[in-house]
Amino acid sequence: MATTTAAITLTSADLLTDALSLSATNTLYKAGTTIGLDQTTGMARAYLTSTSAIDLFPAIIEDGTNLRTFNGTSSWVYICNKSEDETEYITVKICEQVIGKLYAGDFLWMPWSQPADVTNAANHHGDITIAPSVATGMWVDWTCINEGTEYHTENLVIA
Amino acid sequence: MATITAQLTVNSDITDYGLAINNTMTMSKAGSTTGLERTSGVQRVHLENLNHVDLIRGGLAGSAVADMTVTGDTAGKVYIKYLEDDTSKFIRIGLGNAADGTTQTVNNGDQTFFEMGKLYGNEWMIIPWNGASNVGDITVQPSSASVTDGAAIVEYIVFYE
Repeated sequence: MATTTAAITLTSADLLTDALSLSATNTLYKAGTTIGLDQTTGMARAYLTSTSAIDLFPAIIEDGTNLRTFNGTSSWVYICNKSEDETEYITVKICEQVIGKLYAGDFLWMPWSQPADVTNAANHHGDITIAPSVATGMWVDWTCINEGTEYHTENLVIA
Repeated sequence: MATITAQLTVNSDITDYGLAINNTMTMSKAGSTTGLERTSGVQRVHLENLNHVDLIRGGLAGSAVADMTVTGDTAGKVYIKYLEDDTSKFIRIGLGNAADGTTQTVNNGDQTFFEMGKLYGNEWMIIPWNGASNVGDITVQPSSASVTDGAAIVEYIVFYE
């Protein structure tokens, strides 16, 4: 069993009258258990040269009948915009809805359910996508630590 | 101008090669190096039923947080933590509009609410936040909460422009 720990410290000496300091640490477990997450996509680094939105992980594809294998399981996603130009950002979406924008140096750390819904004909599943603000090239890092990733069979035809 | 930093550390033996993240971000306004200067302050809410509700409302009248639509290119950040020792309990974190219904759904088809993920006991998250009106609300629904057995306690803080 693998052990993965995550910690965050939020600080500001001048945002409020008094200093702000907030810390949290936790171990990443499989959903509803105390068994550690044991799979990962690995850390990816890409130089993106298009403003088109892309899937970061294999698309959650509707099969019309069954929920996907890892629907509802525990996944943790890290995305970082490595640009050093403060005007450049990536727009992060889930299910085509904007979560927010990561400007240069910004990151996110969030749970992800890999949600899918076989009843939704629009195929609006829980894919996480990013879209760079410029096509001149932006470095982006991302990874997912989880209970599993559903990799597509070769030559998959999407209806 | 304020200086707000978030330091993330992740360590894992999940692969033979290890996996580590050590990163610090300074929260700046959109497209600039000027620091964010507004905050909701640290909020703590006690959820005493299983209803699906807005935790943080974007762009709505009466909201503590001003509208932060995507067209405004804003750079808000949200931190949320589920204060619970029992790792079998969770809160479902959604993006959309809880007013769309109190029944938990994965996707109601009109994209007004969608589940991002679940925070199990003691877990936390930090994300950028668009905060668009209605479709950008951050919603929450606990798996376990009641007046008699104990509320689901959630802490959050918003930093915004």
